[in-house]
Amino acid sequence: MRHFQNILTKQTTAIAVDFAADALRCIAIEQAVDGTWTRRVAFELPPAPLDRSMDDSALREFSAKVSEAGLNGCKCRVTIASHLFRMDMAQLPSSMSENELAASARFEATDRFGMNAADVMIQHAPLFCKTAGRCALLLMAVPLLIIRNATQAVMAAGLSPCSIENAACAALHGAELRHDGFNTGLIAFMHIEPQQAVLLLMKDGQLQSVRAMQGDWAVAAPSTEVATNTNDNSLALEPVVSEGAWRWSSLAEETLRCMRQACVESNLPTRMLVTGAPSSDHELLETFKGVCGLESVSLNSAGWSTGAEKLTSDTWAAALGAASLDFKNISSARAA
Amino acid sequence: MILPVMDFLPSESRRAVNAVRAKRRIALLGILLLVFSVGVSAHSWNSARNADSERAVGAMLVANAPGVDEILDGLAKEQSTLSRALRVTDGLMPAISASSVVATITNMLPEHVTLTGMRLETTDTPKQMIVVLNGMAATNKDLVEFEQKLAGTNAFRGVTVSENKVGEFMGKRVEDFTVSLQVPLCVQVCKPGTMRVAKAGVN
Repeated sequence: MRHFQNILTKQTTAIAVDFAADALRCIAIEQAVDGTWTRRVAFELPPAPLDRSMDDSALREFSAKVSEAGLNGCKCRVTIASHLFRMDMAQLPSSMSENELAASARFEATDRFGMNAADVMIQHAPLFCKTAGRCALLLMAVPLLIIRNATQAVMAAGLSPCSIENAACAALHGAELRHDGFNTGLIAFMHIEPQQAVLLLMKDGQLQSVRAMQGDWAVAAPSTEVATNTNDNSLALEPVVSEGAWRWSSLAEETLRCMRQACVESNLPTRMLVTGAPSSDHELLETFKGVCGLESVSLNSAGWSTGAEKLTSDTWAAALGAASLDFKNISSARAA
Repeated sequence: MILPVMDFLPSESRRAVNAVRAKRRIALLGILLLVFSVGVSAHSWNSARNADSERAVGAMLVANAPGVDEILDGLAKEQSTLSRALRVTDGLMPAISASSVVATITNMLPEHVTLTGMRLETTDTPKQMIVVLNGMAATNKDLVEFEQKLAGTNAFRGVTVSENKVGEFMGKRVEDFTVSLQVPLCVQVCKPGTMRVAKAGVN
């Protein structure tokens, strides 16, 4: 009967599943009248690589957890680790219609990423653009295989996926809801994952630039994990076993280069908001301050929601951000 | 919102998800409908069974109706007897009717004895009926027989030949006589339906 749970009832809980690089996370939250997010369920499972189908034992464990939490049949939002996406920015003539823009964005993405259009899912979003007669676009692409594997895993576990999003973008949605000050001035937002850090620059509430920096950030973080990233595009870290603040220097220097490229030198962001597991590392924030000359603040996503058990790591930003997108729908459903 | 939601869920996957949900919803509704139908059927079957039972009981009652009538007749008779006993007890009617006494005496007459007069009186204290009989008997022996029959009857008390003389009837010698007796009218009701009533000719 588990397949028939939550089929005929209105869903009052926002659910998100995060296929992160270091874990598979699932969270179910409810929003109180005063805006507080209360966790109903939050669990972590070993990471599920999406380049292949989820193996049976992991799937059984995931399914059992979902069933145990009483979430069978519920709709959920899915986030996928940023390193599985290809992203770039492009400028196109602003005179194009929506359909033309979408087709051009798709053509541009396949051309830049060198992927077969039939094998990838491509999306685009508008960016702030200063050049007259041009419009800037954020292009993102992810292999369909990744999407299918994620969808099948979630459905096999008893959930119904209603959207799939990039983890960094989802984290930005959550941060925007939980923290003020995103709509004024030039702000940098960084979402750090074990294999990729994503830098998003916002000016007066508009996304201006997006940069993905691949690297072994799990190693840079104060943990015992061993570097597994063999991507040629990864930034070199040296030496990775150091306890000093400068182990983050590669990321900080790359961040500074990205900001200089995106902004005028005299108009760099003055504040950086950081999410992801290393964001609680004081050395990281100090390095950003020292190298980039900007105040860095950890958004502490573990504290965004309250629940019976405290979240142990600062890795829930993407899941919480994705789930928070459903609060509006749930409120409408409740009102109806 | 700074960044619009960039949804990478392909439309065919969305359709597949919605189709699965729709199938489950339909299956659930089907199961509910089936359960409801089974419930209604079971209820109907049970009602039909009850109706059959009630009809069988009705038929049995109809079949047993003559017996009931007999019982009712018996009860009516018993009620009549009891009513009569109650009336007797209340003193509203004599326990023994005069006609019964006359019939009893007439039946007891020997072949050569005939009555020429009869007087019946009822007294309240004591409650009794005084009967005085005048008649003729062929011989004295016949008169004695008649007297013994009267005296042997439980209902009669104080049978006395108060007068006996020789007479003549149609040129033949006869014994003219006068016999008096009392019939007590106090009866005792032992239990309903078994009233002890003095009846002529019954020992």
